[in-house]
Amino acid sequence: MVGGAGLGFANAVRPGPVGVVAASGTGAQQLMCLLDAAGVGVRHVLGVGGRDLSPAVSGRSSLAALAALGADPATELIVLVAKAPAARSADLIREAARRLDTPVVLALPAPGGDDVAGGLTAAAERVLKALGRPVPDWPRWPAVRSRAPGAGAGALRGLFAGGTLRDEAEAVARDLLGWDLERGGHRLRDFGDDAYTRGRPHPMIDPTLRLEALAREAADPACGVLLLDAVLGYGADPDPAASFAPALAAALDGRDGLAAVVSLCGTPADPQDRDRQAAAFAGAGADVYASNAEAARRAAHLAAGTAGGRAEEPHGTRRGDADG
Amino acid sequence: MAEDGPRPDGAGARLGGLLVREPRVVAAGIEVLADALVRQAVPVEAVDWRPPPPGTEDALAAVAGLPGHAEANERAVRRMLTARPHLVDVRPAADVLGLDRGTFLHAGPPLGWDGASGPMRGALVGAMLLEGLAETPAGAERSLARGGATLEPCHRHGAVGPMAGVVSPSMWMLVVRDAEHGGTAYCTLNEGLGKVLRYGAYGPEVIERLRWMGAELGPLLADAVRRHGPVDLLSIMAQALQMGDELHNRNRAATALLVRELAPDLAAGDAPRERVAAALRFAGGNDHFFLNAGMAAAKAAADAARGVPGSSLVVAMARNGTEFGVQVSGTGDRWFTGPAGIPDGLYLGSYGPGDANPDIGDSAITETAGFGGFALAAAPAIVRFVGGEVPDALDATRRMYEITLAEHPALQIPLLSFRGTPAGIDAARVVRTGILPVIDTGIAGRVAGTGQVGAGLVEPPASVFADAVRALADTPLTSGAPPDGGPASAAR
Repeated sequence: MVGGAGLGFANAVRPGPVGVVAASGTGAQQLMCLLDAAGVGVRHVLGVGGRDLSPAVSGRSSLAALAALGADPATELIVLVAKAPAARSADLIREAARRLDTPVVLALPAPGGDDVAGGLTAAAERVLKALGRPVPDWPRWPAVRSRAPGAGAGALRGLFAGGTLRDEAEAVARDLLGWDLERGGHRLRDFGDDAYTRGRPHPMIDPTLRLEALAREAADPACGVLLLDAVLGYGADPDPAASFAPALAAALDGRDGLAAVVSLCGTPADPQDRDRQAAAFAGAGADVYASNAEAARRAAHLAAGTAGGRAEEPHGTRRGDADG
Repeated sequence: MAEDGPRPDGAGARLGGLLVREPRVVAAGIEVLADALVRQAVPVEAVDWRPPPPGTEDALAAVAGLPGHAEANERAVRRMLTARPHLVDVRPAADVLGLDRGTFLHAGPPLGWDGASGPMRGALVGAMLLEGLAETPAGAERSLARGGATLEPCHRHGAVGPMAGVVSPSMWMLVVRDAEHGGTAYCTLNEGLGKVLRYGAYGPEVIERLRWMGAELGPLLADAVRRHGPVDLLSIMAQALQMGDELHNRNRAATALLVRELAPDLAAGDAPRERVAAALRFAGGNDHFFLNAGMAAAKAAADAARGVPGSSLVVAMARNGTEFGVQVSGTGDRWFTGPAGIPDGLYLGSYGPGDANPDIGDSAITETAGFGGFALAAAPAIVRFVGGEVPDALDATRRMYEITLAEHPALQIPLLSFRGTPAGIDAARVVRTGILPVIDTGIAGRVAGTGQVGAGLVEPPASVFADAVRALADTPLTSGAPPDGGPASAAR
């Protein structure tokens, strides 16, 4: 996104003081959507490619993007979001960030670093603190259909279109379900991975593969919770709920013990209308969260049998549902 | 990525000013992202782009990275476009090509009797009868099947032949000399349409006509051309394009211009007037009489561009009725071949696509040199061959600019504001864009002896260009060319 114009996959966010350097597409979208929900706008999101922080590329584009945003008088704060970077690249980035006059928030899930804590949602909250803005309750829309007590206990099966969203959900699930997720039958897959997109459109455009996988997982008696992301915005599926909400409803109708959670990455101004999408997913029986980390936490609790019948209320604050 | 200059605000030049100016967007690939920009009211220029075909990426990159590749293409196409072909003589093939009795030339890449299609076999049978090497068609076939004749491609001898392109020693050839680069090219005399040898017909009327052409037309034309002096073919072609010809499937204007040019010198000879009248009636009554002169002119121009190391300029496209072949400037005389396609077009009388032979003829030398299908926009009278309307012809020509290296300085298209025709096919651009050359063509009946069944358009197999690019990538730059970088094929 440049000067508010969304080139490629991007959400319709309010204009504002934040600039984003993104080596992760859906990571950047989650961040801009959460900031939008908190009333903070974004001016530029400079995508640098998922391999920019690899040892071979060592952050060349990220460094140029940081310098450009640092020189942009309208950008008051910079966020850099990336999948696991190479150690040397992360050092280069930290050094460059230190030298800029503009404050930089790093959302780098580097091993041993503290940048990883809480993932994207935590990064959004750090941005808000740096700007002196309050952290809101992130929007959520509990399932409107009642669920059998104990529903969801079993294996967590995540079907993601966003690679960074999958990785974040995995980190959250490991905290709650144990490091070795495979052993518990838990599985989180990224359908945007090259292995799935060769010769076909990205899952953010074409739902076919994920719908097939959803039906397969729902039919697996070991599966307790389905966790899906729905990424909205320009360029994405014009109505993901149209295909996934009925599929989820059918899956939940078919088995009492099954639960579903949707991580909904979007804004009210997106062409798909986030709130209409949320209502459709909630109506189908899924708990819907704007924060991917909260969605993953909810799904993991359901899988572990430690969640109540209704969506939990994180941080013990007010329920912020469809007013977002 | 531009580093910023020493500006007071330090912002302007970062990323080329990307963050401070209104975004201007060029979109390529699937439409969904461009549509999203339109939705956001951001001006967007959509570019029709697609990745190179699988398996060609490495060769395309290697060719693009050849030292001096662009200069080599520039030099090759300049040689092609500066050629000045002149009709200087008309002489028997036995004399000018040194063809021995029992040797025949044919169109397209090399071919044996076993691989020959119906019309090619028919034309070879006719040539056997014409040369007195067989008494009957059946006898001619038996002899040919036994290997009783030597078959060689026209292109190997600096010649080109329309359709089957069969040349036998007694046939008279147009001799076309390139006054700029000094090369010479040859083509037979055009027989007219319908039941003719080049379409695979060999009946008595076909042989009788060829005998008359050898005995009367050839010597009369030779006499007239020598009296006239070199005939500037490029000048005639340039005028004809402005009179509605594209010089492959329509040669009506060029034929009239050539006949007008030669008629006084035909009349000025010693021959009795009824023989002169017969020659004029034949030439003037055949709308394709100029085609063979145009082909020889194209051959002379294309040959001038041969042998430039590193150049991916196409210097020959030719079909033998079985295979389609191309030759490229930087890879010498090597042919890159694939299966010939069935043309798409209009059929005569009750004939239909089921009667059509696969694509045949050296006449694609016209497209190679920047006219024929590449000049369709000049010939609205034949747009039905494109399957429709005048805009289709304009589109066909405009599309060819995507795969050509230059615009012809002399051949201009009135409907395109006198823009030069797209000239000089770059095999690398063909592969890169997936846009195949548009070729006008006649359609021969697949059964030997049938003759013409229609006319239309045909596309080459895409694989031949990919093969040529791969071979060029593997060709050492030091091979193939004489020291001055001129045509390696001057010795033919």
